[in-house]
Amino acid sequence: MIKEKRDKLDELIQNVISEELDSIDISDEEIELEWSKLKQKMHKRPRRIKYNRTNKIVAVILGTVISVGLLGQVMDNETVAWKRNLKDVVKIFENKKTINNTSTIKSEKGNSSDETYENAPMNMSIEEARDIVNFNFKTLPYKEQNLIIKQITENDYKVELNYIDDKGKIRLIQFPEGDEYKENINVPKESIIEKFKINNITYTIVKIGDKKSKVLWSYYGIRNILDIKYSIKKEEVVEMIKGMK
Amino acid sequence: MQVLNYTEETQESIEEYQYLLYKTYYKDVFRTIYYIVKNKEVAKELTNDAYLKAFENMHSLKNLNKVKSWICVIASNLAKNYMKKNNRVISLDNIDYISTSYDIEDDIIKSIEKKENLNKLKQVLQDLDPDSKQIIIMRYYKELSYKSICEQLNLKIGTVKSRINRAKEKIYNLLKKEGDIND
Repeated sequence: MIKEKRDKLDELIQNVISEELDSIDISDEEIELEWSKLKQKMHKRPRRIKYNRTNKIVAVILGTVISVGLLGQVMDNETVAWKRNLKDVVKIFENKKTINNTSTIKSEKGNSSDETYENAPMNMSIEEARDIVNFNFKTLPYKEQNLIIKQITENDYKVELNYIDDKGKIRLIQFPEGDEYKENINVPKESIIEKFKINNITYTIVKIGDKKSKVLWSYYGIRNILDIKYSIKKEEVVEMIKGMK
Repeated sequence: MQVLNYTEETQESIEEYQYLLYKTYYKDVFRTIYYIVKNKEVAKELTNDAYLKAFENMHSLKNLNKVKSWICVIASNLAKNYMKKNNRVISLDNIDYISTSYDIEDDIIKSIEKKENLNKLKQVLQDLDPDSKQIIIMRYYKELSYKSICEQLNLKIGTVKSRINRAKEKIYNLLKKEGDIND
């Protein structure tokens, strides 16, 4: 309830600020005039702007990204990642050859492969994590050891909660799946896989020998993985899931 | 698809790309500054200063995907410094902080929702000091995460969060004060 009130104020502030900032306008003619003033200023102080190789490369790359983006690619909701291309562009540019920017890489939501994000995991409390993570992650009713969050895309985070109960360690991982989420898990041949449903949600239990278990399910676009360091029965899993809040 | 032939490094070519950057993000940068300084001519001048600084320091930009927010941070820093230099900072630190129980917050939020009180909220946001405005713009208008704000402003996450919370408390207290004045 308290969080809802906070969100309401956040929403109000956001609406007021957006309305006010969006209403501030400046004409294209004025922008052109300002550009000509800036050009004059830049010409007056040519040594201040370091037209070194790095600046030139960055300016060309940015210009390329923006100009190709303005051809209609950048305004849609998909993120265009230029990771591989940027490296190629820089290499080619340094050799002063033609730059072909015909290929683009679309980053898939939910993938953690985007290296433009610093993926250093962060330790924090549940309250701090709730302020950062943009989905309502759940917790288990056990003794919490720690919480780690890791950024997987610009707006998405993976939450990892580590617990210990009287039988062993439990790790609960939650993250947004994205539109094209795929997952392959390799388990030993002798593992036992069992599926069951609670409230129309399908849960998969994978028992790996007698020392490890895994429970996997998706709930409103959030992928949940329970890594349990002991063999668990279905009834215990059901109890655990019902105890989540 | 475009194929760029870059067989000669000329100042004109660089300027073309700089112009593209300038035109694409000008309005965002201008708005960020104008919101703080509230003067069109000053905002235009500072916008150019921000771009100049950005062009000079392009080599320090680590993540090319974040060029827009990077220039906006440069811009808001310039705007803040302008306000401080020109003594146009209204210090709000002397206002007594009333401990905000959630009952008071609830009443205030309900009252804000009335249209006439939205204007009060606008005014209250305007009266915030430049540091608070900068962080409020980044969080609520640019919708940057705490982590991005930390990186851009080179602050710890706890500092960013406490500044935002302090700004929100100021908003509550100022609104309460306005409410008292108008009663």
